[in-house]
Amino acid sequence: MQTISETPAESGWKTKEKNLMERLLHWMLLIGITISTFLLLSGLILAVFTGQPIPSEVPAFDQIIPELLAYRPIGFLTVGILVLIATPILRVFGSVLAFVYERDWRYAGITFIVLLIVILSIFLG
Amino acid sequence: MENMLLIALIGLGVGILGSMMGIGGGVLIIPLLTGLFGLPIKTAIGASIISVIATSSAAGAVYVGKGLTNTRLAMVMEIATTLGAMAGGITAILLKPNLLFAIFGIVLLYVSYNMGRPQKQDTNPSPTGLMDESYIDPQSGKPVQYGIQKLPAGLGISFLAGNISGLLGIGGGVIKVPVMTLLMGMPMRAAVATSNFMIGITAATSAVIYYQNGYINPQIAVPTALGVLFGAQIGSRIAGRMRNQQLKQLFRWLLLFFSLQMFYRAITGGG
Repeated sequence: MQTISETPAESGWKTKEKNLMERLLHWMLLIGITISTFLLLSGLILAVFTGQPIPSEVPAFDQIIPELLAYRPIGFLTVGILVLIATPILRVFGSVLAFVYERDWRYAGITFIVLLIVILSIFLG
Repeated sequence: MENMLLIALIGLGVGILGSMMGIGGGVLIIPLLTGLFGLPIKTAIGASIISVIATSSAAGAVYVGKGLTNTRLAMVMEIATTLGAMAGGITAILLKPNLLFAIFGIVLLYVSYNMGRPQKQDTNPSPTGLMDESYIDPQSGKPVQYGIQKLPAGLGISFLAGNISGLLGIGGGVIKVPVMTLLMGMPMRAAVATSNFMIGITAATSAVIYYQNGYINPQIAVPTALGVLFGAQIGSRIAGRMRNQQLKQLFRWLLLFFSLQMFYRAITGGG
């Protein structure tokens, strides 16, 4: 694993790099959670005001967009749930890109493995 | 619709109480959804895992912004937690409900026991040369430096925590945080922030399995997730003011009661 012997100059440099990564992660999580909360609330409000029922199952993948375009609550709720699930996955994807940008190959590799495991999980599910 | 409102309110209560007690909502929400509404445990697990992702992302954004999260350590340990979650998610789909109830009962017993242990003070965190990190302690305003010890053992426990998370739809922080502080030498604040950060991707790994197998019921999952999310925002704001020892004791009895309820459901068929 990485060994870091820190001189003051090095630690200053590290802090700057760290801030880049942390700002990226902070904003990715914040944007994801905001969009999904907005979509979930929209779906519920739509259901209350139009009286359309909310089914107990999520629609098939090819039905999600038609449901959304028809302004049915389940369309908004499903996309909201998917954005919520995708947020941490996109966060990992963003980390891979950021480590590649920083030429930190070791951590680019580590985060890429995490991404592969999640993708494998999608296919095994 | 009335049920959805009730579920959202329960989620709100769980979010407040959970964040005040420093645990995720999963250990509370699953007994409540199965007990009060008679929902199948896999539907409750599906709803819980969605709310776990929501709270992890929301709190994660705050912790990362404050610089408390050891993001590099998190990314290494995530290899173990996501592998565990994948195995746990697949196992949960295959297992009979009464077996899931029994395992949940055991985990609740552990959480209840763990809350009763006296909280050990940080064991003087110091740099070890392995993934050394530092952060500014929000209370003292002073920088805290620490390094990581016993990473291989930590990875092993992370796999287990991810496995339990995928299997039961809980965050798994109750397993990781004690290991990170007592074994790996991390300060409490950094351990909580780092564990929380890992929970999002861990839960997402099993959530995709639950989603594809039809265990994400929008009627249940949406009000649960929104309720817990807003509750956690409230709870984290009043948490500092109410570290009540009696409240904690009451909470332990509640978990014990839930545990017995889970064992009862395991014996009576689970349904």
